[in-house]
Amino acid sequence: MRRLVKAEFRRLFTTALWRWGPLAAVVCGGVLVGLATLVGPENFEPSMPGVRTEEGVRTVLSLTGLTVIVPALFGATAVTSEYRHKTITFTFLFAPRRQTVLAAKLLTYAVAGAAYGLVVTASAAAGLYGGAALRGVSVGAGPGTVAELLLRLAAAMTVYTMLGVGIGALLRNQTAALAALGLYLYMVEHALALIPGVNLIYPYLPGGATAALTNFNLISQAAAEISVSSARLLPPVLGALVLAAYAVTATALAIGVPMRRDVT
Amino acid sequence: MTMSNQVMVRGLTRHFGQVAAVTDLSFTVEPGVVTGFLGPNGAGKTTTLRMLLGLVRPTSGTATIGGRRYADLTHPARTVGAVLDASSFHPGRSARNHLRVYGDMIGCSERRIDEVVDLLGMPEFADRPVRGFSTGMRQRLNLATAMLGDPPVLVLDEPGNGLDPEGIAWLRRFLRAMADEGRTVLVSSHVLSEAEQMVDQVLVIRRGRLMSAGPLAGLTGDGSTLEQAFLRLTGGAA
Repeated sequence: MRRLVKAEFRRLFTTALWRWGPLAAVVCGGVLVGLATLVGPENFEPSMPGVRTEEGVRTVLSLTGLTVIVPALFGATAVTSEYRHKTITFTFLFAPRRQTVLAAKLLTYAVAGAAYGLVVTASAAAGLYGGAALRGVSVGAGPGTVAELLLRLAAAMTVYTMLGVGIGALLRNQTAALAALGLYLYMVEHALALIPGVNLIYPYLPGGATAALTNFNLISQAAAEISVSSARLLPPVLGALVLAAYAVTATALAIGVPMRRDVT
Repeated sequence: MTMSNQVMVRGLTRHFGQVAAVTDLSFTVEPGVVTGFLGPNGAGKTTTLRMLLGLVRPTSGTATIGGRRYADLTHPARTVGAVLDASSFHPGRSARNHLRVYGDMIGCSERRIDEVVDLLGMPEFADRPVRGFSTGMRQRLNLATAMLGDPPVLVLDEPGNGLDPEGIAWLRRFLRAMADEGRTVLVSSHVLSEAEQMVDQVLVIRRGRLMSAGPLAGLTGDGSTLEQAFLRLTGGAA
């Protein structure tokens, strides 16, 4: 397994894709949070509490939670790229016990996803404090609260990267993975969150669990305004466990079903 | 020659829906010679080789290397070196880094990477990204990947495809050298004129069934070319 993980890291660092990772992370973290802080949530439509309140700080930092599709797609690439370029043939020849290949990819991309998450959150912190300093407003949450929220977001990024690996292994095609993730994260889940009755399961969907983990979610707030029966989010720890369960399920499916398929 | 280098196929069958791609195929491939696996396109060569290497599941029958299925080998890539696609590389990765990735998977040293780069005559282009490679360069990188584990068995699907005459001559010398070292060499082809100069033993397959197996001389001994013998065997279907 050590050898396979080493090979996966080399696979990751010997193409150009990974170089876009830090850039994407800074855009999804620092740039997004910095802009939101500069504009100020009190000027959002609808207006929200400003960053001089703790709720306002949560609002701007949690915007990064909307970009989880980026690490998910990055994780999916781990597998879809192999099918696209047919390197999967050599990979399965060199490691015919295919589940070990997937396990090595999950491990590698958990580390890479965590690194991505840390760049996102570090730059988000810079965006928050930098933006607040530029506007001359004080940050309405203590460093401990900010650090905790950022670490939760980094954890969410890590789990979404692993979810992406599982989805990539299931679908095997990058466009299909992009379409499935995009449709699900930005349409299906939001729609479900708005339907009375159905929205009771929303806390257990990946988006709901992410919202629970980050303790804030624009969608659930919007849903709460529209629908009277909006379900309450899970506690953060449970949200993290639900997300982890999705990653494990995607992985188990990826190992159990498609890894047995013919490679032609 | 050791039993461990023998490729044995017994009653191998694969159906894709209603289509029988391979039917009750049985043959043995011995070490020390180059064995050609010949047949028209769609005859079932690739499916057979992929079943031998555990990439496609047989409907029934077995394919073993030294008595064991590929997936059950202790060191699969150190036992069998295989090339199945004309190009299976990430275009942005250099040849050397491609070799390092697969070398990592089986614990090859950097020295071994240098050795296969030299063996396949690739020092000049090993550090360039694969996207600019010619067919011949890709075929060398394929073979270099297969040779990483210094395997006693080589299984190559159409390695001559797209090669120029110089490339074919080089491939012929390479396969001959590998067989002379005592390796088992199984190489498929649908180009008979090319195969005729390359192989000692022939397996002829048509519509998923074995038509003939034996020394090349047995087919062409009457003075006919391999192509004539082949057309006779396959009823002109080639």
